[in-house]
Amino acid sequence: MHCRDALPLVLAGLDAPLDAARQRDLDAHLLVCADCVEALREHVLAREAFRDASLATAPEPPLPEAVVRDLVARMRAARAAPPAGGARSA
Amino acid sequence: MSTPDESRVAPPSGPAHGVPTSPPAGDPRDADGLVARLQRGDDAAFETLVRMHGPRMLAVARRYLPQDADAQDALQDAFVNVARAIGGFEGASRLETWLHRIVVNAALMKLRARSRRPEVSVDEEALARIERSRGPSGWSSTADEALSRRELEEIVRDEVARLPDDYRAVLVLRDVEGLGVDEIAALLDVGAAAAKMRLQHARRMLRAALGARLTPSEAP
Repeated sequence: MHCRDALPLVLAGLDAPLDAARQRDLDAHLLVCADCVEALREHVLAREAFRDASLATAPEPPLPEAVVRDLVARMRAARAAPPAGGARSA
Repeated sequence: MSTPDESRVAPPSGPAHGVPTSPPAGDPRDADGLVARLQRGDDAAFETLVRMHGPRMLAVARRYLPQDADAQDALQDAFVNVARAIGGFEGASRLETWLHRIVVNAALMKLRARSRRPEVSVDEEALARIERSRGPSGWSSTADEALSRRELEEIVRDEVARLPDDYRAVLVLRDVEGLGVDEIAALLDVGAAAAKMRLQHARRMLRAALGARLTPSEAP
């Protein structure tokens, strides 16, 4: 397997399991190709860092008062004039 | 208009989403009590809802819409949708989950409205050239040795924010919301193959951007 064939599999494998034959071929390539191992490592690192950054535990700052007032006013207005189609349940 | 049950997006698990689950009845955080008050049209309940959940919902909107004005617009749309739909909320999901779906849908609707232009074309050759040129000493070693985890997270978040809308959205849906390719395709109203392709392009673009930022430039 060449790198040009392996890299799409590296990417595909991040989002869905590869079938057994493709996974076997990719594993064999990764044993001998440092470049593709690095590619896999970078993709995984980026994915994990992005997820962790997005789910950071720092508390969100409160909304500014003006924003709160504006949102509440919009909700009241929307509640007073519901759309013709109605709303569906959760 | 997006409605809350159009997607299966739910808040990812983790402490960041740890809104108290069972405050005592009468406590303003009591979700059941709050929903009942919202359904009665209690003005104070709207304000409580906005104060309690608005900050988290805005943070969710910002994942898809890094520009603050866009995220604020999505938040407005989300709360308007909440006001219209709360009468039909039956508690089949947690209030927090329902609100999360609504704000994700609002953000995606905004992205969709902005995307009435041809999809950003990916410079395949440039991406391939970068991928070919990078040796085994790529940026992962830099990230491990020279950056704290938090610094890396900030850089990655910054680079994701610079991605084209369509690519940023699929990364958030996949890597943060944890949706599968088919679910993403349904949410974005595209085929599974297109969703998969967007994901792959997004990952390649992100890796290339991180490489440009994190790989030490060679001495002249």
